[in-house]
Order: sequence, then structure tokens, then C-alpha cells
Amino acid sequence: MKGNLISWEVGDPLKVLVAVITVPVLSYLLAAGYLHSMAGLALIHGNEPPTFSPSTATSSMSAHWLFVYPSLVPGFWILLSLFTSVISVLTFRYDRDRGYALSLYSLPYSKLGIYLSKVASTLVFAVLASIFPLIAVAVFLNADLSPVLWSLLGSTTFLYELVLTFYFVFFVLSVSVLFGVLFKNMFLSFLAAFFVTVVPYFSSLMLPPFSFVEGFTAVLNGGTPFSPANAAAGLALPITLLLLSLVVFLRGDVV
Amino acid sequence: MRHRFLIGLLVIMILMLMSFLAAYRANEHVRGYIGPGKIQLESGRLSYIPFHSPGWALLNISCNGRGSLLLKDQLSGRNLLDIPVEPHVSRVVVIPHEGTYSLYTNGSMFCSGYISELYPTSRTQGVLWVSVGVLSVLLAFLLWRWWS
Repeated sequence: MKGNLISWEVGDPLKVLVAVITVPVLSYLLAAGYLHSMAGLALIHGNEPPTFSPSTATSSMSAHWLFVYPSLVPGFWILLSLFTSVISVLTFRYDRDRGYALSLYSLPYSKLGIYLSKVASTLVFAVLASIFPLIAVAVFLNADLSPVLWSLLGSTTFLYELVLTFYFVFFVLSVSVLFGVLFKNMFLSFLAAFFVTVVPYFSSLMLPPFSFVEGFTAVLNGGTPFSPANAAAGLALPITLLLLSLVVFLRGDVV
Repeated sequence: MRHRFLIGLLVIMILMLMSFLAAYRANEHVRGYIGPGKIQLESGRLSYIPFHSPGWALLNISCNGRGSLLLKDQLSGRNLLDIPVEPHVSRVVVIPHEGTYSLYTNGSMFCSGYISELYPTSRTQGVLWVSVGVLSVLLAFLLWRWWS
């Protein structure tokens, strides 16, 4: 039953079309940011420059750039929050705005099941647009690094950054879902969600979700995404918002 | 059409790999600057400039000082360059592939330079094009089987 709903939601032609247009653009932004590096302004005092083996490669300049470049591509994160809000609002409002929600909700599915499958499908698209490009850039643009590449991808720094990226999309998703069930208009929901998530960045306030992007440099210096502040903003707050929107979803009228 | 999401995923991956090639083209003439910095060997301690190159590139380097200018590929351990500086040298060096490199010396000199003319190495191009080819064949097969 649930599987049917999820495959129906992820197979929605409109959402697949939006993803086909947006995800390659997101990957392009990341790749262009990664290839833009090429600067060496550091000066190291020490013994002879070491030859890196897979176990020591995480201290090389290449590893450092691989870990730090995503936080230097603001276009990627802005477009990612736009994409995540569009997908969430399309999932939660498009059927109601177009009117076919009435026939959908008359099918023998529980409202809770419909809500969960909508959230799950949105999460699938959000992860596809964020974590997937991050890994693809690291794998496909570094074929010559292959001896050390796998140790870089398996390092805790990279995994922590993927966790922070997940926090980012999870936060944007939960805010958009809340506005999607609160407002009775697709455009209004999208606008509200986009402004709430992105305006703090333009006013250089260190609020989530963009504080997670800043966290990338903290992770390089030994920080962890599981610290109380990060876990509260990246997991607890979104889950609270999702529970809140679940209440609105269950108690509110369809349409 | 069945399995619309899987078809979309394949199209996304193909377009993504093509966009990587476009990203190389966009960064072809972008310059990344190195230094200026003083590299030296002093009482057994080295000062050196490490840098990262994201692909095949040309390094334009200019140094003033005394000693030999050395460039080490820190991933393979090979030395790519060993030229005397007496007292000035200006050289274009090929950076063969992506990775970490270090400029160092056995004397003492000031160096500055830039990297430009970035291209994907043949291995990176091979990985990208073979992946695009395999995914396209898979996509064509699935469209043939699933189109209804």
C-alpha cells in the first residue's frame, strides 16, 4: 500500500521534470566551483614535502580543497533550497490546487500514510539534488586521484559534511512542508518558504539552514554535526515542524 | 510510461556528466595564483608552497634567488622539475594531472606564479565518456522495454 503511494509520488511527471532540469544545473555549479580552485597561497614550514599514501592523504591540499569547496559555492546552496521548497510545495499543494486531491483522498489510503509517503518522496528528491552531486563531483572529476580517492570519500570529514548537507535539505524541507499545509495557495507557500530559508543568508545572519554550510569549515577543525546545537537545528527542529504540519494535515480539510 | 523516476534518474546522471565537461570548459582560462612566497632550506628545515591542481594545467612560475627550483608531485612522489635559479628563472611547466604539488628548493628564493589552461586528463575524460556511453545505452534499452 505505502509502496504504491511512494512510487506514485516520486513518479509524478512534473516533479521528475523539475528534477531533470535542476539537478544537472546544481551539479554544474558544484563542478565549476570545484575546478575554480587552483590557488596556493599557503606556505608550510617543515621537512621535505611528504608523499601521500591512502592513509595520510586526508592532510593533502587536494583533500583540503575537496572538503572546503562546497562552502565556497553559495549559488549551489541557494538553488538547492529553491529546488527543495519547489518540490515540497509541489508535493503538498499541487494536487489540492489542481483539484485531483479530492479523488486521491477518496481512495482507501489513510491520511497518515499519504502524509508519510509525501514526506518520503520529497526527501528522496532532496537527497538526490544534494548528496548525490557532492559524491558525483568527488568521484568523476578525480579519476587520477583514484589510489587515494576512496580513503578521502570514507574519511569522517567527508561523511560529516554529508550529514550537514542532509541537515540543510531536511530543514528546508520541513519549513516548506509546514507552509505547504498552512497556506491555501501554491505560489504563496513557495514564496514564504523560500524567503524564510534564504533571507537569513543574504542578511548574513548565522541561522539555519545556512549555518550548516558554515559548519563545513568547523568540521575540518574537528567539529562534529552531532553537537547539541547542530543536532537541535538539523534534526529536532525539523522533526518538530514536520509533526506540526502532520497535525495541520490530519485535522485540516482537503482542498 | 512505467518507472518514470528511474528513467528520470538516468537522464539526470547523463546530463550531470555532460555538465561536468561544460564546467571544465568554463574554467579553461581561469587563473589560480600561487605565492608570492619565500621558499628556502634553512638549517634542515624547508619552507615550501603546496597547491592543488584540479586537472591537466600549465604552471607559469617565476623565481628570484639562488639554488635549484624543485616541483614534487605529492601523490606519486615524483619530481617534475629541477632547474637552477641563478638568480632569475621564468618557466612554464606542465602539471600532468589533478593532485597535490609542492614547490620547494635547496637554496632560497622568492617565487610567484599562476596556473591556467585547465583541461581534464585523458583518464578523467575516459571515465566521463564511458559512463555517459554506458548510461545512454541503458537508458535506450529501458525506454525500448518500458515505453507503452
